[in-house]
Amino acid sequence: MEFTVELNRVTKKFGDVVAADNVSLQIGRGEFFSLLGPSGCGKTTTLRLIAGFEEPTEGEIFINNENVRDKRPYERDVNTVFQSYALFPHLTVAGNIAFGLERKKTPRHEMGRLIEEALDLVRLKGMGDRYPRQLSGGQQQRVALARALVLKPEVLLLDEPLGALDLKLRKEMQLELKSLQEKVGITFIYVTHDQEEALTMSDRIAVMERGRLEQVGTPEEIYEFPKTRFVADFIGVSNFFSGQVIRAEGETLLVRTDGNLDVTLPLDHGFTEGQRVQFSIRPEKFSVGPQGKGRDGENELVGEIANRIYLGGSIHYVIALSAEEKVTVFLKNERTAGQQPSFSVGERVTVSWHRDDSVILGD
Amino acid sequence: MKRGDYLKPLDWFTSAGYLFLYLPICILIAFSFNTSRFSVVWERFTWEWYGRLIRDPLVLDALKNSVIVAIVAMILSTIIGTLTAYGLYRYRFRGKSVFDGILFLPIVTPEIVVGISLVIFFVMIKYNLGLTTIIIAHVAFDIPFVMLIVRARLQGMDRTLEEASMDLGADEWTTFFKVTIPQLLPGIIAAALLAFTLSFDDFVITFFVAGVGATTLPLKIYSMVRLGVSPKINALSALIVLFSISLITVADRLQRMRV
Repeated sequence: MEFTVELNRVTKKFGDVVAADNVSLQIGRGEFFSLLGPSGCGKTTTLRLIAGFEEPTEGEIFINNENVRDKRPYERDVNTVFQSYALFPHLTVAGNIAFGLERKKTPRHEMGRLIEEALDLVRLKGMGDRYPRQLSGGQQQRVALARALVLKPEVLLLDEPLGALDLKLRKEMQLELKSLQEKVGITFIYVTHDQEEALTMSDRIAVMERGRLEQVGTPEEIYEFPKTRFVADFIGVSNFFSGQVIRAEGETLLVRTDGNLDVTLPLDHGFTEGQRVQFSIRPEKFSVGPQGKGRDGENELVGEIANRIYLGGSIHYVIALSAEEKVTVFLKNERTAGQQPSFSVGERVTVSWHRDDSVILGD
Repeated sequence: MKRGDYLKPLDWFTSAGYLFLYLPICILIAFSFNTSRFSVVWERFTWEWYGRLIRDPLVLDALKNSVIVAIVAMILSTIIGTLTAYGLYRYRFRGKSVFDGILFLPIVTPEIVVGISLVIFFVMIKYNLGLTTIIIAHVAFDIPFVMLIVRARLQGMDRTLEEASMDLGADEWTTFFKVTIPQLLPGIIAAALLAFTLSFDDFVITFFVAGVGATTLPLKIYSMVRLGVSPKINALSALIVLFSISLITVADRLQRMRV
């Protein structure tokens, strides 16, 4: 695979604070890559390192296979869409878009055409004469996008570009950004703290926490097979268990949880008898009923419904399996005429799930 | 009891305060139109004193000097002050807080002290007193004011604008001239107007560093007053007040302009 951006053991310290800790990343050409994490996790710092606004304390950054150690931001073939948009208030929309083209010494006649094309691309035709303050938040966001895209960079860096927009507009812009990225075909590196946004738009996601990369993978990998407790917790909802390995048996690992429940996990050769193990199960992986499906590898436990939240399309239950262990279960609302397969608080039910739906977590 | 009644004494004090500030100036302006030469008794309205003023070659000469000094001092102090303020804002270095702190010192130092120190300095380096020394002195006392105004503007500026500019391919110089300066422009113009006014009106420091022959308008007024206050001085003062107030008003407006 061809990489447009590569980070090799990059560390950035601000005094004693380690904002990025030994980060290594390889981002492919044309990829929509997201840096996801809570605020202060180092995602913006990583982006700023790539843009050239910060210099790494250690490590190397490559853009198009070229080490950019001594390159100033204006010498790098990347452009940024800032969270605050950072539109020049003293220039019109067209003036803002022209700013980068002028630096590139683009001929006048060509510039007019490129600006028109860029405005067209972000659906702001005819707005070239307005000033940024005369535009709405969403429109300003598009101008910021057009200003960067008109330069046809190898890589576009986006720092929470939708953060300031209201929810409805956000959703619209997410889809629009994604289709725009597919249309122009350039690499997007997208910083966000919104897991749903990252899952919706990205080809791959890097989850960051306290300056470190927790996991890099496709949205599906990240959601279905989180590697650490942090990832399982940050993305979606997870039920966590910890316990002790009893023994390995064929394809399974037999585990007794701290709440004294015996369950099976997929075999992992890293574990031996008596070792502590931590695992998680997504709430929609459970089935609830009088009895399990009786599939091979199915875990079946009896529990009591402790809480029920009706959400229309789905119903969320909290089910107590033991004194300390409760699981959150999402069930589809399957009510049809004459049938009402729903449970009420206090009812005793059988909770079942396949052992392969349990994900063993690292630290 | 209504709120308005409660505030009555305060209204009174406010009015008294303004009266105290502006009444003497108003009287001065009024008497510049008085026909009587000596008394402060009103006789008849006349433009005569203004006519005499603009025909007095010594006054015109002093005015020319004042304008030259004020313009040159304005240009130099605005450039130096703006760049210094930007340097202090932009770069981190050892002792920066000290530099920030002593910015105000020249403003609160008594003018007479500044004047004496400058004249000692010029004598020490054996520099002949004249228009040049006046300009140097004025640049020196204008700079902190320029810095204060420009700094206030800088603190309101969005720092990411400069990053955006560099991101779009502009080097440091281009960024400074194409993005930073336009953002600061209202502040810079306000600072320049204030510098011009301060320089144009200054008496104490100028008095020390002027030497022989280089007479500015305030110095000229002072020497005229020694021969007695004539309505001609009233007329001249009235013009200066009018001019200064208009410049300061414009400067104030510009300073309030949003980024």
